[in-house]
Amino acid sequence: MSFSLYTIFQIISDFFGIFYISRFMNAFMHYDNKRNNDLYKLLYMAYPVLTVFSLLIGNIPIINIMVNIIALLIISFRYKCSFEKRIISVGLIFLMMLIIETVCALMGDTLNTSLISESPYKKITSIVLYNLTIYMVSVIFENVKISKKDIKLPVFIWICFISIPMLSIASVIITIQMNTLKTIHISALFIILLSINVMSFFIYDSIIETYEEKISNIALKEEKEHYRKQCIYMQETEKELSAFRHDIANQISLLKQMSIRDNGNKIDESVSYLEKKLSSVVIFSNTQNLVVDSILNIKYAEMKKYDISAELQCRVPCKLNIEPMDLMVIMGNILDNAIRAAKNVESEKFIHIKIVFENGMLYINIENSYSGKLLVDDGRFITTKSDSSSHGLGLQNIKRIVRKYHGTTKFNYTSEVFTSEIILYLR
Amino acid sequence: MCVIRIAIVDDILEICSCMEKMLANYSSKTGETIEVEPYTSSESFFKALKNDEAFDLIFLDIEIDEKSGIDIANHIRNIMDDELQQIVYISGKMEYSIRLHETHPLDFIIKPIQQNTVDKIMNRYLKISGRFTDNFTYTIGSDKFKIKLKDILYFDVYNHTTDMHTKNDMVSIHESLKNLEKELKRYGFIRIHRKILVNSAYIKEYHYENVVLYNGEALEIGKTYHNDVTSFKLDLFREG
Repeated sequence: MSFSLYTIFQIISDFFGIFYISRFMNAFMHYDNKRNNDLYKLLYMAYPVLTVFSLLIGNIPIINIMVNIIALLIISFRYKCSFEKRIISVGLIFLMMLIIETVCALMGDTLNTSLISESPYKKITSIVLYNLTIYMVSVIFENVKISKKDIKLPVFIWICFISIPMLSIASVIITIQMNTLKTIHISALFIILLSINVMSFFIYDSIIETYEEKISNIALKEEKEHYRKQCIYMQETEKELSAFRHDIANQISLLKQMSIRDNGNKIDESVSYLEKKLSSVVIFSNTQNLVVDSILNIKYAEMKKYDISAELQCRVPCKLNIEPMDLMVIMGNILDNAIRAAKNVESEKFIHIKIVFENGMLYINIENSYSGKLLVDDGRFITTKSDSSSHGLGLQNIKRIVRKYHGTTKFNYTSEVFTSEIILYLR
Repeated sequence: MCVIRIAIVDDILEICSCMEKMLANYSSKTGETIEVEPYTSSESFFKALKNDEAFDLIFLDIEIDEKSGIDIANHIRNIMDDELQQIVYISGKMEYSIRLHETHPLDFIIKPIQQNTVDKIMNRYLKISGRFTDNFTYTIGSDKFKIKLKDILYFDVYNHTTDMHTKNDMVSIHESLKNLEKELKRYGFIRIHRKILVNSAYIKEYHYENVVLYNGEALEIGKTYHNDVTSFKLDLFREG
């Protein structure tokens, strides 16, 4: 094998591949999904190593193609993504390399007949042209914002998307066999094929984005509906309980009057018993604010179930200028978190609740004991709850509502106590 | 050290004496001088008010004389136009109506009352009481003037001059808002705008875009001051 200038250029070109391939990978599979271990950076060397190897063993086209694709696949493992996206990205990158290389080869041909008479430089021009063009294209791609979403599409849609680059590759190969076409026509055809593929990738991304939005909207709608039902249920229950208590209290005072008059000790006994029974039905929250009472009383029942001691400091008028659902979602979620944390503590289990409305602002403070294990990631708390997706949705809901009322959330923790504070502007 | 004048308005005598005892305990614990006056009917308290008796803190039973506690509070706030006498409602149940809320009480406590509840309320009162007794001195030309802090509503800057707005008047003084803010911050004056410094005791309502004072004036909150205002109110809530 002769080591001509051309071969040297080919080797240089293979090493140059690291640059534009990395840019393409960044663009298609997302910068964020990079595995940052330095070892993964070595994967890039797969391309020059394999292609130079293929070059040295005879530069057979079919082996070149296979080697390119294998190298791209190896490099793609630097990024975390689904199998489908990996295949699509590798296919598209390879297609781009193929088309641009072919176009540049043809261009090189045309140019050289008019400007440079010496044939050895013909192929070199093509290589150089190729590398420059593809590097430029890769930079453009890297700077275009491509959607991060990477979710599963229906199989049929995915097959359609993968067919486009594949059929394009087939078209390129068929076209190259034809000798009767003019260079300019072939170049135009290739550029068109390239554009079609590029557009299909953007369509793919946009569909994934829409899909994910649709799914997340459905999930949020379901959760909202669930809360709305809970909200109504809680308010109905509270109304019933309230009426029931009131009724019993009346009956008891009537009975008491009768028993005093008739001097019936037995009646008095049973009345006293009933009185005690009534007062032992501990009403945790009785602010006459239906929303606050219902959510607090229901959560209080749960707290008692887990032996969590609860304290309430409450100063709210019976009507608050906040949508009942919003208040229920906020308090429901925060109390759920507090209960979840407090029930697992071995020593003191407690939850202290403070809700104050003053000067047009609502302040909610929940302190709970917890077992001291908090995971912090990037300044956000990671849940220890196994069903992390629904937990995330709860926090999302709180954030959305707090933002709606121009409010703020603050979290603080010591080794034993976790404090959540929410402040909202009502009106 | 000035005297704190406290009125206890409750028709049950035991509660009045119980409160007096707890306040005496607080006084000996902290060294504050407290004068306590009990009133067992709303009439007697109304008479005292009409005789220009002034109090710093009033413990008021909502259920006194068949729910006329709220009438007393309304009288103080609306007819006497006094927002500075602090009211603490005593009640047998947790129900806290909107009408009560509109009288802006310092706190709302439920019977039976414990010593530590009284202590907490007194501590809170002390924290904000400086605003009611201390003075603010300023100079115009070569003359020195003194005004009670509790009479200042807010300062604002108009055409490069700082204006001090009081209940009935407006005085232009030569002092930068920055210096005023530093000096008066501990009395609860808060900078809500590059050009406005407000006495928070006069803020009736906090909104996201503005604050509304008791006299009806609305003062705009500057864009970069939203967080400060929220933090300020957050701290107030935390202490209460």
